[in-house]
Amino acid sequence: MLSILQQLFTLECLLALVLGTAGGLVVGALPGLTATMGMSLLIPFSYKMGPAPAMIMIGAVYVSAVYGGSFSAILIHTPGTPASAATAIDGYELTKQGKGLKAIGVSTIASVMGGTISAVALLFVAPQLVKVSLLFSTPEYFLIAIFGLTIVGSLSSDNMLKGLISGAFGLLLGMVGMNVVPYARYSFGNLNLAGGIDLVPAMIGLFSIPQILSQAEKRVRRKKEGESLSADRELRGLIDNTRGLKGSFFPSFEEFKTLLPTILRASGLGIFIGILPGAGGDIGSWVGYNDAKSRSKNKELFGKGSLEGVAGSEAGNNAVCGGALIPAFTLGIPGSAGAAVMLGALMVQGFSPGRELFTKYADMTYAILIGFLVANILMGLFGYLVARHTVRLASLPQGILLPVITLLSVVGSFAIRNNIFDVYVMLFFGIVGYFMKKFSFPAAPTVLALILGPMAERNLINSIQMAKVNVALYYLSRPLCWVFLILIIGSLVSPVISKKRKAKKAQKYA
Amino acid sequence: MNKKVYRQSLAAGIVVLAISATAFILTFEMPGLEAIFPRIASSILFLLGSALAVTNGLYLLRDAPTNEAPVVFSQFYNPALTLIIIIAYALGIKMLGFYVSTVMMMFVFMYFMGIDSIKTILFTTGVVTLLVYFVFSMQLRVPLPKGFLL
Repeated sequence: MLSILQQLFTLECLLALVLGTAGGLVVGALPGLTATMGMSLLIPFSYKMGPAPAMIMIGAVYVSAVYGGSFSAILIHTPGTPASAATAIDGYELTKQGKGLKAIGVSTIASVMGGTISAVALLFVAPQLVKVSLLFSTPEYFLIAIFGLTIVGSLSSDNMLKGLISGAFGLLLGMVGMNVVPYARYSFGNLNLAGGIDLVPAMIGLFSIPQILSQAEKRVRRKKEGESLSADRELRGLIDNTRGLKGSFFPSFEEFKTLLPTILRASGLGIFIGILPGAGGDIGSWVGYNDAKSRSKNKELFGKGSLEGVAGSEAGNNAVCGGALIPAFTLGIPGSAGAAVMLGALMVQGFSPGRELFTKYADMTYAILIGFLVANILMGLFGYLVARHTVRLASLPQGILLPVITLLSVVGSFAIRNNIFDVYVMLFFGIVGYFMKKFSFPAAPTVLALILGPMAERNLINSIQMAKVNVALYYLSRPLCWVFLILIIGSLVSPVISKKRKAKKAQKYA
Repeated sequence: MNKKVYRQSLAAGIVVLAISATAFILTFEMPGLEAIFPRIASSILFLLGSALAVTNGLYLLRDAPTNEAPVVFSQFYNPALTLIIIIAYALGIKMLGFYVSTVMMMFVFMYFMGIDSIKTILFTTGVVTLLVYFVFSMQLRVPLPKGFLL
């Protein structure tokens, strides 16, 4: 324990914690920037730090950006991140009623509690899951990776087919070069491609460039400046209204008592959603919100300004963060796009997920996990101090923000391997990611497939060599493989069944 | 409007089919074990692409209702211009050097996005470039590319 604390309480780690938490709040509060974008842009800044401070910094950005998104959602009806879209519904209504500060207070308490509970779950569940993973051999790991890919496709979007296509596309991209096998596949004689696609430029490209291009769509040509000015004026008006925020930040004890069950339930749901590969904070917040609504005694307040709605959504999205890291650190299967970026950052530092993290590198890993827990508490403190002011960041013109993100994307992609080719890789993924976004193909499955693909292939090849005669029989002779096969089939079939059920229900009521 | 959505998804399905077919054909030159996983992945992608194309083709024939909005191609005007700036920046780094092309990109991009104030452009460019110089060149010692200018 002492050695863990010695790792954590260094000046570098504490600075990383403070800067990461503050930076995450800024990223979250700025509409148009997402937690995953902030995290992936941070990897090149942090890769020369020690592994503990680097991971703590990125983890702090992760949790505080998800929380920071609620400020602009509540105060100016503009979700800072997709994960706070559900918060905007009741949060902004509360602001209109003069209870904006209290809504921020409830969001702070719910986010801190949801995040802290999930961090505790991460601390206690992850080592147990690592023990279970000792029962797995290469066939099980192959099927786990496939399960991760199928469930990510079915959960990540309204359109399961497009989610699965994104995943399969990511699998193909993950095979470029000599990533797994000593043969340069799909490299077309290019030496740079023969080395394989680096994960960091791919993630920066997929998460940053589509965002830049989407924001650029809103650019108003100089001839139509009048329209732009009126939109700006409206936003500035909303921001100016937040100057006069009055009332109490914290809810009364009675209010807190009524909110507590909602927060606890949403936290549990958030952790569960986080563990499922690919279901990120946005799904966690909607599930938390819907659960709060369905169990509330004041259902009529939902949509008109319900503190329970804010609490459910915010506890849900922050609880996803810790939950998503449980399978990421133990099995190498990220539970969300944010966890995928954390996993990428861990790999850049030269570590692999799994048993060794909790045995050989246990001090470092526990320092990271405790740092993650502290970041969840620290973000509440920072939020209390600056929440009402950070909303002003929303007025920062996109004209300044977008060139800065472009610069960071380019320099960040270059800095990992000092190779200009990685900048071109980032651009390629950015362009592909933008078209995927426009045609409703989610990007998260592609990133997860880039991580899970090599893991799946490595284990498939090893199990073929271990099987000697018949691979199918070898797989079917292992009871744990049956479990994963059933899970894979279930993850593919259940969305189809639930869609049909919904359609039947809709027909019945029509 | 519905037809446009399905037509676009059908086209997306055909693009997926073309990518997967190409990926599969390229596996013929790969030796034994190295070809297994690419063949599995490209076959899965082919099946999924076929499903996307066929379902949307059927929806198109039936003129089925949808909640999705079609992609309007005029939306691509500003992103295309933005992309030209970003690509020019990425290519310029090798020729002009990182810092020169960064300053040029910042000026052009900010002006393009409607920032008229020269003071704002100068100030932002200066601060951000100095920050990158301090972090990447001084602290992390990243050898950022030098061109014929700097």
